[in-house]
Amino acid sequence: MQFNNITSLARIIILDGIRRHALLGLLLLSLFSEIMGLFFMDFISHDVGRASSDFLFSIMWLAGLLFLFFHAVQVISWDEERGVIYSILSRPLSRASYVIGVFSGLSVLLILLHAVLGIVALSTLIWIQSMLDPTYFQTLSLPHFLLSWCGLVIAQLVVLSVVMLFSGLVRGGFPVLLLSVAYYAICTALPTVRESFYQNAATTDTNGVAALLLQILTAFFPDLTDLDYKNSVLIETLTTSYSNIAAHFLITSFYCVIMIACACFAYNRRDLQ
Amino acid sequence: MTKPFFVACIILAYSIMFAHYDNLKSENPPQLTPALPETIYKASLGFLQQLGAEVLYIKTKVFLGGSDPVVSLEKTMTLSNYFEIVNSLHPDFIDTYHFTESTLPWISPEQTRIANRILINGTQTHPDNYMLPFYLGFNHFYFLKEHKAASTYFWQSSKLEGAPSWFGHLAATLSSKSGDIIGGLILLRAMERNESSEVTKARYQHDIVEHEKAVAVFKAVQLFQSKHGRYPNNLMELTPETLPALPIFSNEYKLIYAPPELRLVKHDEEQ
Repeated sequence: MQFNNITSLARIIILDGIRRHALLGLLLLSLFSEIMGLFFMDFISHDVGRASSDFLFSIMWLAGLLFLFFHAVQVISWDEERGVIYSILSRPLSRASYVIGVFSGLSVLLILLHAVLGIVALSTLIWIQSMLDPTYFQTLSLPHFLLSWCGLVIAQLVVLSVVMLFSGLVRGGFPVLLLSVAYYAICTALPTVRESFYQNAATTDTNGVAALLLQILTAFFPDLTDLDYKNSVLIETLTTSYSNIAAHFLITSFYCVIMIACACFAYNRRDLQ
Repeated sequence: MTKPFFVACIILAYSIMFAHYDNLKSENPPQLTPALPETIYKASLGFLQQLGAEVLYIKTKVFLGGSDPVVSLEKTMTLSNYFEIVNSLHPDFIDTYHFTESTLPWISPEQTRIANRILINGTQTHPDNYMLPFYLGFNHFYFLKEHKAASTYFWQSSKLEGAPSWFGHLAATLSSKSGDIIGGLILLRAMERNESSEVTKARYQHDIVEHEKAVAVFKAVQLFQSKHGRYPNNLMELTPETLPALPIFSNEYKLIYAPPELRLVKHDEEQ
């Protein structure tokens, strides 16, 4: 029963997203930018394939971030600001199911967006490869492209799960947006801080407490670039072992589940009035 | 009537100011603003690190392609800093190595060493690419006159798939005693063969002629040694028995003989 309610809510979120002009505009803009990759390669003399692949994946990443910060955040806040959440929760639907339903709907939309962009990106890469001498674009590995695509999607699902948590903790779209952007900025910067700390620690006395603190912080603000496999799109053999890849995906999935569970808990405890 | 006129005046004023400002800007030579510290790029770009590196690479390339070379020389530290940052952000990107090689070593020995640092990163990231150790060998041989190191890199390059066979020969020649002249000649011949620009080709041909004269003297010294069991005290001892006459070099080159070593140096390298 709850499962049916969750899927119904997810369906509403998906249909609502598909009908939104802003989202369609984002899709068109991203597709246009991906095609602009053909012009970007003109600036590169040798590593045309790599530069094009980096450009296309970066466009997908940026489109995903725009979706998360400007669509996902608003969808959740609109539910509260327009009172939609009351009518939804007046039905036989628990608050946890509401969180899971919204998360599922937005996840499907995000995956759809990346699926379209991914197909166009792959077609663009194949087209660029067909135009060039193998010296400039030797290999295009489809399995590695799919791996990079999955890594990108999972990394953005992490951000979505955190957006869900912040929406449960804070009222209003703008504060959630600010918190989500801050979270993303910390996730991006923390690995560099850690690396720099370890480099300094190698030359001076190691500060165990600081190292532990940074490790704990990384557990809360994961390194999203661990799931960045776009360097492997142009090589035949992966430089990372399969067990490492599996570990990255598993850890991130657990993190997502924990964030969603926390979001459910936050919504259950929250006074919606 | 007043409203359209007012709007037209605003647009006209904007156009005049824009044209004036843009002309002023184009009169100034293009500038390469100092790059931010590498950690800032790393900490802020995250997933977009590779694209960020490529954008910095394009910025550097556009600057070099469009500026007065004198301006570029004044900006060498900024330039090498950009190359180092691009390389650090995206070591897999092969263009950085090719562009570094074609730009930095020609500026000064200090820049050659920076280029070598970047190229060493390249040999670690792309262990199968024979061009990168070749560049390192070339830099050590041509710019730094470190023939032993050059020989090591040429040898490393010659063992990789796709490397021309003469790399190994060059490495072997360079590693032998006084082999720098013969090694230089082999390298120059190869460069001349692959050069498309007629002007550069002519420059190489001139250098080849000078090197051939030096090789003739080198062979005469070896012949003298095998005949008399000792090296000549000076090159005049070679004539006329071993060598009919000592060759005359162009103003650019000078042959230096410090028994048993014979070196062909450019006048500017002596200083």
